[in-house]
Amino acid sequence: MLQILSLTKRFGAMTAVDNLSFSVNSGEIVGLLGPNGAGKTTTIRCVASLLQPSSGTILLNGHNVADDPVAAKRTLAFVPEVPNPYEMLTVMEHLRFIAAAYRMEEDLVHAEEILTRLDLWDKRNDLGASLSKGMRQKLACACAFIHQAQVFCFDEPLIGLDPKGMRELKSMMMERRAQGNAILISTHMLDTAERLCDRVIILKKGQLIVQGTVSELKSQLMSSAESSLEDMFLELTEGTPAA
Amino acid sequence: MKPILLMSGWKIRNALRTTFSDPRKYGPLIFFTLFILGSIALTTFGFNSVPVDPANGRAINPEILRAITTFCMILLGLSVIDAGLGDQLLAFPMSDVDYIFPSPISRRIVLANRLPALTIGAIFFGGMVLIVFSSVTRFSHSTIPTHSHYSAPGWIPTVALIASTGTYFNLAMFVSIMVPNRSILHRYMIGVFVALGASIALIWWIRGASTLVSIANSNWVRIPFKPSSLASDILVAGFNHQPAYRTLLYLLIGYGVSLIPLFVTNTNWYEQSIASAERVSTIRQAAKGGLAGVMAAKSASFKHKGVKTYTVSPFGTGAMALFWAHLSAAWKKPFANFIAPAIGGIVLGFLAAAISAKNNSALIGIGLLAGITAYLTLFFMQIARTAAESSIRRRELLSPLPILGWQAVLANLGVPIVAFGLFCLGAALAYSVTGSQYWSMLAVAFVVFMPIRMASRMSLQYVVILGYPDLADKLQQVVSNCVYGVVALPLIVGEGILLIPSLILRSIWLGIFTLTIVQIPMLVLTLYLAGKASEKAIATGEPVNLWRLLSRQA
Repeated sequence: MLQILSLTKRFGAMTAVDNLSFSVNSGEIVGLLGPNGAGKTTTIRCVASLLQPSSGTILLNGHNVADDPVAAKRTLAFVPEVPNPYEMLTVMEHLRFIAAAYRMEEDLVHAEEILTRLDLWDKRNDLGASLSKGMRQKLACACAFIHQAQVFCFDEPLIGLDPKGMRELKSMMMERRAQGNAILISTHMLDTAERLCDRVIILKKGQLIVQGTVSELKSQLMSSAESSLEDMFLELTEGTPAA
Repeated sequence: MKPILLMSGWKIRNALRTTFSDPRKYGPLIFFTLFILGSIALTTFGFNSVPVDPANGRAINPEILRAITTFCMILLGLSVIDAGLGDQLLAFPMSDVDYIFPSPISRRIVLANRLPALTIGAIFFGGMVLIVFSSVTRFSHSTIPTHSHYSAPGWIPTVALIASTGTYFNLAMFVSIMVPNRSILHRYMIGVFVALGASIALIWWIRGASTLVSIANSNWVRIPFKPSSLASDILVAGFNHQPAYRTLLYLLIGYGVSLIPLFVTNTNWYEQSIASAERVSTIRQAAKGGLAGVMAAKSASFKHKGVKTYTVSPFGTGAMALFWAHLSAAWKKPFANFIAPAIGGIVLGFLAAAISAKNNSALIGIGLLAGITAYLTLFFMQIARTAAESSIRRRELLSPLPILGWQAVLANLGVPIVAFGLFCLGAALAYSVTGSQYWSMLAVAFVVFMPIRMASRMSLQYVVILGYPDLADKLQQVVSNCVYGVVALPLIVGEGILLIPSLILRSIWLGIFTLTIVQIPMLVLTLYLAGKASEKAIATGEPVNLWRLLSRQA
């Protein structure tokens, strides 16, 4: 569903993403891990067509993002790291706008369910300006789930959410996975990635250093079966041996 | 287009609802917009419709007027294109970046959504030119005897100015989306801008108006800056009684043509737009920390060659340490904070001396210097305002410091006072070294009187600002500005009254001496009041009641 082929993104002399290739298949949640500055957000922004790749190809459901961005983005839901809602739109108007932008025929049939699960139903008539940081995050997630996307890209979606919100969001992601959607999550929360993701990709300085299921990586890279993803991550990215 | 139109409709509806339920949020903006639109409408329809009798009005040569208007319109057009090299045109709101950019709405439609903003910009700038033009040429008549009647601007010049400025806005937007490394070009553009302005002034100075007219009429100017020259033709058409419909048609066609490249290109300009939007968002955030914050944010957005160290060793104790900290922060941008004011003063001093010499009258040069200084005073007062507002924002940091109130005020206002002092010193020195008439009086006025008066006014403004500490409340800030104006007005009137003896005795020295002597106790009083207000407001966060503060002193 999502294929990234030899993606390179340079900002001047700095290479943020270097010849990166991976794919996210239907019914799969893939975690994009890496220290700060590893290129996770840049990769996700390239997928969302917010950044122009220096070279390489991104295919969303078969559509090349560079050649046919509108068709490609029709299948994509994107949640940025720090969402900025429209101050003068209510929560419900955000959803209506997204429905119109994605040309949804069935008008917001799931809105009440999604907003209720994310604790936003009571705030459906509140303006974006009045929402707290966590609520803004939830609103961005609600907008992502409201349309019939096939590929989801989340950039640090759990930051700022309360425990109930985190649980609901994870459960909604798993439901989408069961429906056959492809989900790419960039996160620093390694324990969550370990439990939620089918595969993880670890980036360092823009390059893919390892990918696979958590158990595969453990068996390949760690001497102890009790080692956690955190131990593995630190050893790969910082050279710190597992405790 | 439909989703964006829908969303815009909801946004406008909600903004109006918010305005009616809480006018503080958008009230001042709506008032300002109505004021500008009203002014443009008044100027367009009938404000200048009174026929001017050639015997009474001022004579204006249409050719010279057209040359000046052409150059002014060229400078305006270049400044609009320069805006395209900056961040403002391409900086979409961050909410658009998060919700519209990743959505399946085509980039052309997103760009079309920007057109109303460009048109508003064109109406604003075009309207400003119209108002200034009408003010300058009001009660004037043409030097051409047969065409001595000045007709009203009507709607044609208004539409022409909007079309001309709009064409430049469209070109600027095109430059924005096509040029990735705009900041380098922006610097060159500023150079072109300054060189052009200086060349026009020099040609006028050395060769006279006739050369300026022939340059304005040459194809070298008229062809590359066609929108400017056509708009100028229409503006002065009233003086020549020439029909302007065909010229207007050309301008409107030009405006339409300037839209084509915007919508033909398929460039992915989102990346540049996001960079601009993030920079503008950072600068707006930094603006809450005062002017130094904005400068630091702007400075961080430029790539410096090499490593720039910002460390200035601490110095002094108590209030001096606080003053030194402000000075060190300002030293991060030495050109803007210290060098530019000093150079500006020196340039103005020499200019005043040169104009005095050319006209054989010192009063013309000194009058020009005084006028520009009065205008710049407003700018320095604004810097002092942001310094005072920063002290409110840093209340939690400042309140535990063991510093007397007046000392804290002086430390917080230190940088703008020093900057203004450097400007005055530069102007006084430059004028004095030329040995022009009245140089000694001007030196005393600029080195002693003006800085003391400015410090006194800044302290007074500080008190008023502490009376309206909710910086997020736009209405409070408008009221705060008005209150300062009301409080400062009697002082200006008082200064005028104090000048009467010197006018009667025809002694400039007496005037300068009287005003300077009065400013010293005035500074002590305002500093004392600001100190008391600061002790209360910075410690408690409560607004200061100016009247209560005054009555308590009484």
